[in-house]
Amino acid sequence: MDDNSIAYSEIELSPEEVLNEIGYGESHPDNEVMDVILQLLALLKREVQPRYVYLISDGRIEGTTAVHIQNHVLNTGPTISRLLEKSTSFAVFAATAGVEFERIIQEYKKTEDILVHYILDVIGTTVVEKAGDYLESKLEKNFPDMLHTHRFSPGYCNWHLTEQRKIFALLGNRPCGITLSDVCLMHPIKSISGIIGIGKDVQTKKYACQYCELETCYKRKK
Amino acid sequence: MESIDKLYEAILKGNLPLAVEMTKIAIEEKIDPKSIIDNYMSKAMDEIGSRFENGKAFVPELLMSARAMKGALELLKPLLVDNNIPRAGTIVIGTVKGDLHDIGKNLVASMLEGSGFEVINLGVDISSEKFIASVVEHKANILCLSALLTTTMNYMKEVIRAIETAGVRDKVKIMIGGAPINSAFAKEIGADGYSSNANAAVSLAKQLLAS
Ligand code: B12
Repeated sequence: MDDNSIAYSEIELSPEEVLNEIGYGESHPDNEVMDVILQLLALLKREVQPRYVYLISDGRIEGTTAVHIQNHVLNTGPTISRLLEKSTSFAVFAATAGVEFERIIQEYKKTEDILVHYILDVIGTTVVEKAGDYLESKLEKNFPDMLHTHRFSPGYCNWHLTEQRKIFALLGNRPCGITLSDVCLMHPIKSISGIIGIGKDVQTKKYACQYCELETCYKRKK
Repeated sequence: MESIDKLYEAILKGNLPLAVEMTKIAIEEKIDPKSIIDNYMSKAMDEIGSRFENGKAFVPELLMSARAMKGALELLKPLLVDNNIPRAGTIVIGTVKGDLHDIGKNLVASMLEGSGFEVINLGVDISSEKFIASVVEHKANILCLSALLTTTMNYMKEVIRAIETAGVRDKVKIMIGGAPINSAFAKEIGADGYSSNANAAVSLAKQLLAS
């Protein structure tokens, strides 16, 4: 199992990435918004400690809706199973913006400024997504002659949220210090979990809106 | 009277210090507080809201306007009380038991406050007992429930059943929201309405109280 801290410099966020996550696209934010972003990013540099973990395991796709890994049957559902086709092994993973980031959020919640809370929240999302990208880049380094699929998570596409329990069991129950509550909420909040298929012949297509059933999503590409 | 046009601009641009200053001047000029709110402040909020809906403004700008509006409203509150002008209404809001997500709910709370509602924000992981106690204590007109996961949204149904059992269902409208919620779910569990974002939540709240 590969369980690691990520130096912040490896995933350092640019203001543009944060603006992009908010949804600005080509538009420009108010000066105050930009100031808040720059201030928070400077703070992040000093304090944040993202982490990732993955377990590489053999496995097989069973029927059209499940993946068998070690003694666990992951009921990934038809959509994700199809996207995992031809995988010869799997990376079961978790990643988090970290407990340090969670502490910063809790600290800032004591101030009343909702603008700062919101931007910090978006920054946390961007950090954990980049930690996920970093994890994928590590896979590429460690398996140079293999391809890998996009990352897929329980809670998406009929892969039930409660299946996170199996992922946590495979990862030793407290991967990167992340805990799982009885309703399958991860703590720290800015964390992700899931599976990546590895093989010489897998689909590398991005998971996109076309597969997702969340019709009310504000990020949905029209 | 110049101050009052600047007040509109201050709120639209989300400039809190300017909004406060202009409100003070408008009060000194003895402009009717209800007219300040209805004809200038709320109009600015409507404008930023419509820019948001049209993709010309984003969540941060919306929040800055709401913040400026809230600051200006604080100054007008005592005058509204003195003149017996009714407030928009009282709202209790919280994220349901088991769920710890709060940014979306806080955005909704801010926008509602910026629209003149009295908002009691209970926080996250709130049980039905706590919701009921707060609704009764504050004589709330609307209860807002938030959840971000399919595993926690079902608790909303429990809250609504408990409100019925407590005999207060006919005294309070119930609005729900959060990423996995949609209007079909709202209907199914007997809520009065759903909206997909904080801006739309304000119109929904106004609409529910008008009906
Ligand atoms: C960003 C994001 C993340 C980020 C940050 C998460 C966070 N909570 O901070 C990260 C990458 C960490 C993440 C992780 C996960 N996520 Co996620 N995530 C999202 C995403 C894209 C946006 C959520 C967000 O921050 N929105 C911005 C905030 C401001 O909006 P909001 O909270 O929804 O609130 C707005 C409205 O909903 C509404 N509203 C909210 N409350 C109320 C209340 C009332 C009364 C009203 C009227 C309106 C209202 O107004 C608010 C303001 O506009 C959503 C999809 C989506 N489009 O919503 C998925 C989503 C929430 N995630 C989902 C999932 C599955 C997960 C994971 C379980 C995946 C995994 N296994 O790794 C994890 C769980 C993390 C955990 N801690 O347990 C699912 C949840 C559905 C489900 N099955 O339960 C969603 C819906 C995606 C999907 N397509 O299905 N996620």
